[in-house]
Amino acid sequence: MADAGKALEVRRELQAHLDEAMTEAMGQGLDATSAELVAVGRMGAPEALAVQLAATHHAHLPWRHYLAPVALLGLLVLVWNVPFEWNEKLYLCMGAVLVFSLAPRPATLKRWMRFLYIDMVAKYQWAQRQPLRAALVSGGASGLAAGLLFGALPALGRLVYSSGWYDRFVPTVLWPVLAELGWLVLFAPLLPWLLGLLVARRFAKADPLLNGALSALAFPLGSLPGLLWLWGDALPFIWFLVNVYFAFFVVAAGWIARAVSRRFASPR
Amino acid sequence: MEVIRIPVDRELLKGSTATLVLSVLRRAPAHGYQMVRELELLSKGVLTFKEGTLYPILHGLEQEGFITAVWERGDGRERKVYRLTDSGEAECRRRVTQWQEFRTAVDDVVQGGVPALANP
Repeated sequence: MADAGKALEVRRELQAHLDEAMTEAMGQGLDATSAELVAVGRMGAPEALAVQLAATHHAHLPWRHYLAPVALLGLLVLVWNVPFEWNEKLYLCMGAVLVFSLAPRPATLKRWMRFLYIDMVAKYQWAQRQPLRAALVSGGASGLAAGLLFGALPALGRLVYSSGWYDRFVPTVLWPVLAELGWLVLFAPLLPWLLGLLVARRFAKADPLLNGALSALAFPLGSLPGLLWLWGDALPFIWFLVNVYFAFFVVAAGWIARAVSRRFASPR
Repeated sequence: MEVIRIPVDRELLKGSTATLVLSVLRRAPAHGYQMVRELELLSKGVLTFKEGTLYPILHGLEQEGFITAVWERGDGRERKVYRLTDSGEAECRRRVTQWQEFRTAVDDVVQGGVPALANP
């Protein structure tokens, strides 16, 4: 792929630079180990510098690298809604993860992690030029993923009711725990958005209101699969309304965050 | 006589880096490490560039078509050597002219003794 090729080219060039610096240091009387320490101390480790330079050059990462994790989560939600036994669902989910981890090449998951890191650095480079894109990545993707996850809860509830776990587990363990957690459970879907906002503010300086608005839109959208699959069931419809409530809450929080950040923003 | 060097403000260097790189390549093709050392020696130690600054500039100039790069092998090592293109030569001339005009204007303001709007 073009991005991987460019990254390798940058890495190769930096290694050549390091070799030149080491050769000069050795010409001044240092041994190979000391020369390498001097050279790396001056320019930094080629691997770290290559990542930094790759982020600078490859700021426009392909959209599919953001879509793939979200698509995987959506697939897991749909698989979970299939009316099989719980162990069959588990095997299907494991199979979906395996398929995604092997396609299109075995290093996909590792590349996702690497691009996530580069993405966090890259946001700092290009977010000021493309704030909508930065907000879409940090807010929209995280909100959609959270919405999809919470859209799976109705199916999980259906599973609990039908498997007999309910009588054994839910009244004696789950409800008391949720009752204790209370407000934390109510605001839990905000956590992915807050994480995205922190990333955006730290690395991207993205507009918090735009960030929040996009993730707010993504929450109810993410719960739609569960609602449509179990149409007529009250529980997913309740969760959909809950996500709409979260959407208003998130937009309000984003508006407050933007007002606060503008109030204390220092001129550059 | 002891020479005391005042560190150069990075903001001053920011706008000049591409001009300096093109000027170095105008003299002769060079690889990245060579350029760093050349800039240091030509400026008598005043201008020092970190690799994280130089390489983005080089890659940007390459993308714009002002320089080209090829991998060469020499002394048992491989190096990516940069050369100025024809458009790079023109761009270098343009930037140097711009810099000279800028420098003259700044010198006139900084070193001039008589105010321009002197009272009659």
